[in-house]
Amino acid sequence: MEISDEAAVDLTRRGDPDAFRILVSRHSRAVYRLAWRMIGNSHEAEDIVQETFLRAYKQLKRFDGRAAFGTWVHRIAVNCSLDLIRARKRRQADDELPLNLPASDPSPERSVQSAQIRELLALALRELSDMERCAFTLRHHDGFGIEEISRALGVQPNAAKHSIFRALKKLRRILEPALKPAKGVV
Amino acid sequence: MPDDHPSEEDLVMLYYREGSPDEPDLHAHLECCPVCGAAYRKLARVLDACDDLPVPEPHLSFESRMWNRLEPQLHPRSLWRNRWFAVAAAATMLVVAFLAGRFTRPRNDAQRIVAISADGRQRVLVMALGDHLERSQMVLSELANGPDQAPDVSEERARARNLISENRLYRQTAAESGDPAMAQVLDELERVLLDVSHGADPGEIKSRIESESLLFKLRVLGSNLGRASTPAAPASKEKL
Repeated sequence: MEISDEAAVDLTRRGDPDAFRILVSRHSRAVYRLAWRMIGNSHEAEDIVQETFLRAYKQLKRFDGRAAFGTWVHRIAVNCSLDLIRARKRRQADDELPLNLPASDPSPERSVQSAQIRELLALALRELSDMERCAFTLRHHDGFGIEEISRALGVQPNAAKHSIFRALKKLRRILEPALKPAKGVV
Repeated sequence: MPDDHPSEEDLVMLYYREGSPDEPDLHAHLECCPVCGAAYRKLARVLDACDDLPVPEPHLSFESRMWNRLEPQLHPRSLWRNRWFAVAAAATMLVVAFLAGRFTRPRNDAQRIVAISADGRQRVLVMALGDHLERSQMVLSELANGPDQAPDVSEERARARNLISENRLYRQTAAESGDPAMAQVLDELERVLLDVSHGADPGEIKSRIESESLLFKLRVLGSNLGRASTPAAPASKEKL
């Protein structure tokens, strides 16, 4: 019988420090993926995971259980990622997204074309502003709705929507020439 | 061909199924308007390609590494308590060793007392860790050899719960004293003990103990500890 997230949250609140470990083990990879997509850097993504769970632990009293723990922790991770992006901007150390893409999958089924597209995708993502990248990532990869994105980014829903459209225009400009339709499809 | 063509933004929202009330009309339009249908397919190709963004998969031990980074920040006070406990335990051992030396040896043999106390402290620690590993092995053995659907594992749960805090202390000490292999095994042990104490399914625990070769690893650790402490014993006897 596996302990549920709700039970683990309850035990953590009642002072069982080990229950929180279960939540970290269960959700840290998903948080890492979200952070990596937004930040594009493994070390910083790990820092985000750490900061996210630290904040979650401290704010656990405020978790009302209306959303699932995973969703709640996801939102904290989005905020942590945005904080890091803002801090990065303040430092003005690096305007570019340092996308350290993993090496291409060497398996034969991976075609040359898809490897090229992945490279182009990484290039296209560098063209996006922080807001565009966050909005697009939350919509496309994490399935957030426009309202949720606007709340997470602290902007009006229209602004969130337009960030996604702008992101998409840039992605299309770079990706479209490389994407050939399948035979028989216009 | 209908005149009222959807905008690119409408098509994006349609792709993401944002639940616009116009969605059925848009679908109907795309089916009968070849220009818009082609535009939608072109857009969908780009968005589908975006799924391909590879995210590097973190290392297998990612979760435990993250926990090791997090834990000291979650319980700063308990860590201090643990540290004070360790300091107090070390001080007590020194006093015991000193008094033992004082009552059993001539008073002027100060150098021997120091040697005995350092050696004794090390041996006490090794013995305590050995005892911890042995008790952990017993709990895991009972679970590994028991039936998958054990009727009552409350005793094992209580014993596992008692072992957790002790295990954490040894794991932190191993990590801080630069013994990652020991820390790793103790970390694996802690995760299983946690699951046992939280009432995880005995069948799952059993297969985890087997798949991670945990009992074997504990036995190896225990025998290494035994080897490390054995040569010291005759030497100290000779000294005495």
